[in-house]
Amino acid sequence: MSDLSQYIFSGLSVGCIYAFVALGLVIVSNVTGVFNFATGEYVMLGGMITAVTLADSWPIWLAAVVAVVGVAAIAVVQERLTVAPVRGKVGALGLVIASLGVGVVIRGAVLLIWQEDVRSAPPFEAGLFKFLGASLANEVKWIYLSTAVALVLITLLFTKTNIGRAMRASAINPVAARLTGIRIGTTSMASFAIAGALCGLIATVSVSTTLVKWDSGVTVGLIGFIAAALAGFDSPVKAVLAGLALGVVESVSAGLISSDYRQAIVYGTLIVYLLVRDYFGEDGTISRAIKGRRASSAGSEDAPELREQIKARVHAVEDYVRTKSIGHDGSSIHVGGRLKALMHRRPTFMMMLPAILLVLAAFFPMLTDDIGMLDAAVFILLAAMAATGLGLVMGLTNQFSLGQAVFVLISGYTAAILTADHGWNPFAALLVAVALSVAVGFAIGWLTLRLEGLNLALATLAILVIALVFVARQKDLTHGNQGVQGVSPFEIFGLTIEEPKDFFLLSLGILAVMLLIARNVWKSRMGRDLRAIGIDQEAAESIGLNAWRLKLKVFVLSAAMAGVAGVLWTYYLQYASPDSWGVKLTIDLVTFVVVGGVISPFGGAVGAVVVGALQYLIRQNIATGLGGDASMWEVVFSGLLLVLFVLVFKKGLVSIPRLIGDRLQRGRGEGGDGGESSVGVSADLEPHIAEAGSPPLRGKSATQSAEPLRSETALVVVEGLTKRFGSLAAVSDLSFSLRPGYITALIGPNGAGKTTVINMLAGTLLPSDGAVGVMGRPVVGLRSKDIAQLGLARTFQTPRLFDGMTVLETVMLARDRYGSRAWLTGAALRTPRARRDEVEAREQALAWLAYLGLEDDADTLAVSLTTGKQRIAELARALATEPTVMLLDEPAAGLDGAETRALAITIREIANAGIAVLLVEHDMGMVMSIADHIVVLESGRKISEGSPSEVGNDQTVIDAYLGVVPV
Amino acid sequence: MSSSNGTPSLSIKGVTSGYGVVTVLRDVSVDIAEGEIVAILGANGAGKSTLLKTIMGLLRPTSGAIEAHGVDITGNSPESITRRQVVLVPEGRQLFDSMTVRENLFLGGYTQPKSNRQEDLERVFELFPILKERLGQKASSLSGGQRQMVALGRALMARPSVLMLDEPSLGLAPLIIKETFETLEKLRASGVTILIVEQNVLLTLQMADRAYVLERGRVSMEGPADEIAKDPRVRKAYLGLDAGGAQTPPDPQVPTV
Repeated sequence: MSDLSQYIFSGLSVGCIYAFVALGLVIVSNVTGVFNFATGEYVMLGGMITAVTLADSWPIWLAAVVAVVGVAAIAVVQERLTVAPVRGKVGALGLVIASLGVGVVIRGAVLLIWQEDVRSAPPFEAGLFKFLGASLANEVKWIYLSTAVALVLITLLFTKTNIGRAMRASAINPVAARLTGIRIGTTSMASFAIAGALCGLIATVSVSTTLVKWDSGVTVGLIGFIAAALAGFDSPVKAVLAGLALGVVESVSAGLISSDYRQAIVYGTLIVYLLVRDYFGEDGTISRAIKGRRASSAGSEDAPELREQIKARVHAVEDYVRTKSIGHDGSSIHVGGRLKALMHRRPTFMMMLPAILLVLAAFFPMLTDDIGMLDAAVFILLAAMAATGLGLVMGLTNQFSLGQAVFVLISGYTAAILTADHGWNPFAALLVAVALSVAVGFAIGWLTLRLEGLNLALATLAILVIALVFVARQKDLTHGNQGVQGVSPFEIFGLTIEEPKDFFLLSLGILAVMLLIARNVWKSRMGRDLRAIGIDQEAAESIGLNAWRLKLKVFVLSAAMAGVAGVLWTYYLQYASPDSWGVKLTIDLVTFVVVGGVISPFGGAVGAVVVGALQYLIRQNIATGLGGDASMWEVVFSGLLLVLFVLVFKKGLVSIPRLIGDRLQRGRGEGGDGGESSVGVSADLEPHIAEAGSPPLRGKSATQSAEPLRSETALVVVEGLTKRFGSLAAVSDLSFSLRPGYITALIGPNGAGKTTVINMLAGTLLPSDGAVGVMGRPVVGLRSKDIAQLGLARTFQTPRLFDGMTVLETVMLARDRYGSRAWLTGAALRTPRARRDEVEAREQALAWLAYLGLEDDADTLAVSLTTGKQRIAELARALATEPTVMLLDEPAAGLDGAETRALAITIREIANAGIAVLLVEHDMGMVMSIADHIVVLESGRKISEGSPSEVGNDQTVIDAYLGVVPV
Repeated sequence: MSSSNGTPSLSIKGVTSGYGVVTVLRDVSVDIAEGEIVAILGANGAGKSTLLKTIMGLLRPTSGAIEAHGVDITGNSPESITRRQVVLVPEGRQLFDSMTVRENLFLGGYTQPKSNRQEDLERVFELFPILKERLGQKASSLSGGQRQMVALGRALMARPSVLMLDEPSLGLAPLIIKETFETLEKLRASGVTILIVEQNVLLTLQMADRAYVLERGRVSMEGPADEIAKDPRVRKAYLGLDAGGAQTPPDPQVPTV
C-alpha cells in the first residue's frame, strides 16, 4: 500500500511537468493552430537556466524569475520568427516540422553554451515529508504548490482579463474573434509567452528532483505531447489531468512492472489510444461496420443489364470522340497529335541531370585519400538511401513519419547480430534484415497509416522511441548500450567490400538503383494516385482510389530502402549501436527531405548530400575558430536549415535547376499557347458530330438518332435518411430515388442540408439513421472509395482539383483503377504492361477532355483554370470513372450565363446516356429547365416534391424562398 | 443616389472578389448613406455573403475599392475595420459558445476603452432586458432568439456607426424575426447605418429604404425598397420562375415526365 502511494505521489510530481507541457501545447495549438514540438525544450531550457544560475549561487527566486521570463521570451521569439511571418502561408504540417526544427536549434544552442554535462541543482529545501504513506522530498511540496498556484493564476488570466478572454475567443472561433477587433498577432504571441512561462516555472521548481541535460527535453516534450493528444488537444483541464495521469502511470508501471520499460508503456498508451480512437470514432471503421451490418438496400434495384447498357453508352461517347479525333485518314489528329506530343518528349538536360551527377560522383574516391572525408561520404550515401524512402512518403502522400530511423535501426541490428553473434554469411543476413524491416514496415503502416498529419508523426516517433528502449534494455540480444561488436564486413560472391573507396562505389550503385525506382514510382500511375491522395484524400477517394492501400505500399517501399541503408551502415561500421540510429537520425532524415525538396523523388538524396557535406565542413573548419564542439554547431545548423526551408524555401534545393531552366526557356521566348476555348461544348468537335450522324451522347443530335436511355428502375434509393450533428438535425427522414436517364434536382435555401445529403450518399459522412441503396447494395457504412467503385461519381461544391496536377493527369486518375492492378513492381520497374496501361489511360482521359471541350487545357495546371473550366474538369474526372450515378453539387455556381447554358446541355446529355443524375443547384433557371423531378429541402426536411411546374407553384416553396411576413 | 450629406457611410466601388480563383462578385458597386437601411437581396450563391466578407476584409477584392466614411479601407484586416466602427453580425451569429453571455458582450467591446463598458452594457440591456438575467449563462445554452440578441448586443458593444447583418433571420421563428427587425429600426432611429443581407425578401423590403438585387455576382437591380418589392423580376431572381429576358433556358429535348 505504502509502495503504491509512494509511486503515485512521486509520479504526480513528474506528472506536473508533463501537465504543464501539455497545457502549454494545448493553449498554443488552440489559439494559433500550431502544434509546437519545441515545448519540451522550454522545460529543458528552464531547467538549464535554473541549474546554472543556482550553481552561481543566485537566490532561488531570482533564478525562477530569470527562467520564467527567459523561456517566455524565447517562446515569443519563436512565435515572431517562425509563426507570425508565415501565418496563412504555410500549412499545419509545415508549422509542425518548423517547430521540430526550432527544438533542434534550442538543443544545439544549449549544447554550445552549456555542453553535454548532466546538470542538477542543490535541493532548495532538504529533508523528507510523509504523506499518506509516501515519503517524499520536501521539494515535491514546492512542485505541488506552484502547480496549484500557476493553475489558479492561469484560470484567472483566462476568465478575468481582456487578453485571456481574447485568447479563448480566438480558440473558439477565430473569425468571430477577428470581427470583434481581436488581433491574432497579439493572442498568438501571448499564448507562446504563457506556454514558455509555464514550462520555465515548472522546470525551476522541479530541477532539483530531476536531472537536466541538453537532450532531456525530447522525452518530456513527447510525453507532454501524448498527454495533449489524449486530451484531444482541446481542453486545458483535460490536458493537465492527462499529464498528471501519465506521470502516475509511468511511476506506477516502473514500480510494479519494470522500470526499464516505463516510458515504453507511456508511449504504447498513445499508440493504442490513437488507434482506438480512429477505429471507434464517429466515422471510424468500427462505427461503419456496425452501421453497415444493419444497413438495407432500401429497395434499390440491381439491374446488371441496364448498368451494362449505360456503360456501353458512356463508353461509346468516349470511343466516338477517340476514333473521330484520332482519325484514320490522318487529317484529323486532334487527340492523337496531342497524345504523340505528350508521349514522345525528347530527353532534356533536366531529365539527364540526376544521371550525370551520379556518374560524376563515381569519380569522387579518386580525388581524395582522406579517410575522414571518405567516411563522411559513405555515411551521406547511406543516409541518402533512407531519405529517398522517406522522400517518397513525404512527397507523395504529404504525410510525415518520424519513424524512418526505426527501419535503419531494426535492419542494422538484425544484420549485426546475425553476423557477429551467429556467424551468418553477410549477404544472407542482409536479405533477412531487409525482409524484417519490410515486415515491420508493413505492420507499422498497417496500424498507423489511417492516422494523419500530427498523429501519424507522433505514433511513428513513439514507435522509434519504444524500439530504442528495447535495444537499450534487451541486453542479452543487443548488448545494450555497448552495441554489437565484431560485425563482419560486407561480402558478396566471395568478395569482401571493406575499403572506404569500394564501399563508396557499392553504396553509390545501390543508391542509383533506389533513385531509379523512386523516380519510376513517382512518375507511375501509383505515384500519380498517391500525389492526388496527398493533396486531397477525399477527392481522390471520390473516384475510387484506395488511399490506405496505396500509402501502405509506398510506406513499405520506404521501409525497404531504409532497411538496406541500415544493413550497409552496420557492415561499414562493423558495429551497431543505438546512438547512430536514434531520434537525431530520424530528424536529420526529415531535414534532408525538406531541404532537398519534397517535390521530387531526388529531394531526399540531394538534401542528404548537401546538408551532409555542409555538416562535414562545419565539423572540419568552424569548430576551431568559434569554440564549442563541432558536433554542437552541426546541430544548431541543421535545425536552422530545417526551419528555413520548411517555412521559406518550401520547394527545396531540387527546384533550383528547374527555376534556372524555366528562366532560360523564358529567355528564348515561348510561343503563345492556344487560345481560350469555350467551355462545355467543343467548337472543334461540333462539325465532326454533325457529320457523323450517329453520335451517341451529343445532345443536339440525340433527337435524330439515339433515344435518351431511360428506365423506371430505381438505381439509388434513399429512405428515411437522417443526419444529426449533436442535437441539430441537418437532414431528417429524407426519402427519394434516382433513376437512369432522369435528372433529380435537390434544392432548398442555404443550410437546408443538400450537401450533407450528397456527402452521405457518397460515403464521406456516415448517416445517423436511414438507408441508402445503390444498385441493390446497401451502402451505409461503406467508405467513399467503395461506393465510387460501385459506379457512383460526384463533383464538389467548391471544385476540388489536385493542386499541382495538370488537367490531363487529373482525369487520368479517374481511369487508374481500371488499369491492371497497381502492383508495386509495375510502378517501380516500369513494366511494358504498366506502360500500356498508361497510354490507354491517357487516350481515354484525352477523349473525355475532348468531349467536354477542354482538350486544349490538357497540359494546364487544373487549379489555374477559371471557375467554369474547373467545374468542367471535375465533371470530366467524374465522367471518366464511367459512372452509372452522378451527384453534382452546385455545378453552376460561379459560372456566367453562357457557361451555365453550356453546362446545362452537358448535364442533359449525361442523363440522356442513361446516367442517373442528382443535381444540387441554386441557379433556379437551370434547375427549372433541365430537371425532371425536384425535391425541395428546408432545414433538412422535405417540404415539397414533384415536377418543376408543380414545385414552382407550391406556396410552401415560395414561402421558403421569399420569406413570410409575420402578422 | 440618395446620399444627402456628401460622403456615404459606406461605399463599394466596382468590387470584384471571390475565393482563390473562384470569382463570385463581379464589379459590384453599392453606396449606403448615413442613417440608411440598405438591403442586399439575391438567391443563394448570388454573392451576398461574399460582399459582406469582402467589406469586412475577410476576403481581399481583386479589383475595386471600399470606403468607410470616405476613408479607403480596401484590403484592411477585419480587426482594423471593426476598429473603424464598421461591424458585422456574421451569418449563423458565431457566438463564442462555451463562454458566458457576459464574456461575449465584453469581447464585443474589446476595441473600446474599459470606461465605456458599463454604459454600453446598459444600452444593450435597454434593447434586450432578458440578457441582464442571462449574463452568467453559457451562450450555447440560449434559445435561438436569445442568441440573436447576444450577437446583436456583441456587435453594439463595439459602438458601430455602420452595422452589417448577414442573414439575421436564418433559423429563427417568424415572431423573433419580426422582433429583430423592430430592433433594427430602433437602432436606425438612434443613428446607426445598416446594411442587411437577407433571404426573407418581403419583410426586409418593408423595413429597408433601398435595396440592391444581386444575380450571379452582379447587381441586377437597385432602387427604393418599395419599387423593388413590386418588381416581378425579384421573384424570378429567387425562384427561377417566369423566365424571360436575359436568360434563355437550354432546350433539353426531353419529354416531361
